Amino acid sequence: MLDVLVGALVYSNLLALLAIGLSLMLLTCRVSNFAHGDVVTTGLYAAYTASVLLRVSPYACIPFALLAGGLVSLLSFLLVFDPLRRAGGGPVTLMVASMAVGIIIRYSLHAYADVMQRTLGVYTRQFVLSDFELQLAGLRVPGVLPLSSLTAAVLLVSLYVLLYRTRLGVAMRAAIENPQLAESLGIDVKRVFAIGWFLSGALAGAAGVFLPFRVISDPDVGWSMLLPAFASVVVGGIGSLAGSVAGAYVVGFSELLLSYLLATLGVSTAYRPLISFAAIVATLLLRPKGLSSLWSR
Amino acid sequence: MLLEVRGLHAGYGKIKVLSGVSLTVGEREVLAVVGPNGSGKSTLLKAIFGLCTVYSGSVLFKGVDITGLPPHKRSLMGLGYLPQVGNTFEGLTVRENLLLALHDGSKLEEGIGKVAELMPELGGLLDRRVRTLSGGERQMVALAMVLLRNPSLVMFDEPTAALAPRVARRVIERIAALRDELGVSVILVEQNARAALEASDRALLLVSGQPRFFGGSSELLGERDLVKTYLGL
Repeated sequence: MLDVLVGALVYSNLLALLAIGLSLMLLTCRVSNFAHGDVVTTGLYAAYTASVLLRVSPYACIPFALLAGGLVSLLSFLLVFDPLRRAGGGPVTLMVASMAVGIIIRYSLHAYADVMQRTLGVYTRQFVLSDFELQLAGLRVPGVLPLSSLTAAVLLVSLYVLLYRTRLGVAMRAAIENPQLAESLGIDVKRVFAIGWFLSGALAGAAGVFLPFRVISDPDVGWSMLLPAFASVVVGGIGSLAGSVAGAYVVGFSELLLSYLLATLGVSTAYRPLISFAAIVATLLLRPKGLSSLWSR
Repeated sequence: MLLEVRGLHAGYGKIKVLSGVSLTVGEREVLAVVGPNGSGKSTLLKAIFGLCTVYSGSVLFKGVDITGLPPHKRSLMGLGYLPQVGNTFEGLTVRENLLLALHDGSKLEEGIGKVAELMPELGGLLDRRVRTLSGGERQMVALAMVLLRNPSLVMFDEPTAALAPRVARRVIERIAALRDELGVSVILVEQNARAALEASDRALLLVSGQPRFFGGSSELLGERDLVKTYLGL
């Protein structure tokens, strides 16, 4: 049971890092970005590569993952989503484009994984990384638990401070609410959105670092995180950043606890994705504004 | 001349709204733009600020041709524009709105002091979200944002649209008084034609996107046929 709780917390931490970026991209460009899972994988391979080259733990390579994820996300904004948005592309056009961008990133990573395996001589498919263990309140827990919690907390609090305590953050919230007025006040809306995309990608990249400590990893692994991350956004309330974080913990814990329950009843855990999707449908039907309706009107 | 508009043809994409509008606004001058609904009064302001399509003609501000400049550059040159709706960030606090209006964020306290002097009512609302304010208070926040940018010319698009007639007249007089208090020029687009003409120096009467009269406001009030036909006065 402890394992399940540890797993649920780690999983939720990662979902939170993903979901807040998905929300930010929805707010800035009205795009449901299906490429965001592959940005996670980009962060994973960036940190893994750096850790092999520098002979340090992947945990020490989180900055590389932040940078790689941020850059890939920024490029996708500058090269694809911003031009489409300016040309008047609607949410459906942008969503389809994001699927294409996701596939481009994913198969580039597939190619990269082969190159990496050949040149660095390490497994780059179907691999797991061994974690360290530590004693916490008399319990043995894997290192990924405190480290992913700390990373998520630091990054999410930093994002909050940026958005609510700096002029750039105020400008970002303003540009999201009313781009035309922001533009007329001299705010460079494109630049502000570009920064938002970089940050979204950086957070997703950081989430990637922790995946190989929990699941068997390959270039498709980030993609499988995407749908529960969307479920978190919906459960939290579309358009609410705080809601997305809350939604991530609700979805993460219910997915793991319910599938644990199913497993004890002898049902295969392969049916686990059912839970996220049920959460999406139930939220949209019963409370379309999600958890955020609890604290905002 | 502070502002000079020459033979302006403008609209939205394929929809042409204005044809052949010319006008001038001098230093410390209040120009009222009046006319029936749908005659292109708001479009004229948008064209001057760079928010719609200009097919031909030109806009000169402080002697510089600004026809092709993006809105935020016009704003930096001292052109202020107060749209009818969507003129504040409703999800942000009053303080955050004022912060964004300033060219230089480090002068926030100074700016807030200036606003509190001109509009004492806003002083107590700084940390309220604009969404929670009354309609009148929101308009004041919007006006404060424009004035903080030290404009030389401020364009108002129907500032009294949602107000009771008695209040409306006071607001119009208040806007015209900005000329004397801050030395700015004003273009005022108004439904409330009589009050606008009485408070202004010059007037432009627009009908179906074409200028029918441009001259002194009192002269326009004297043109009985024009004001009766088009302004219902």
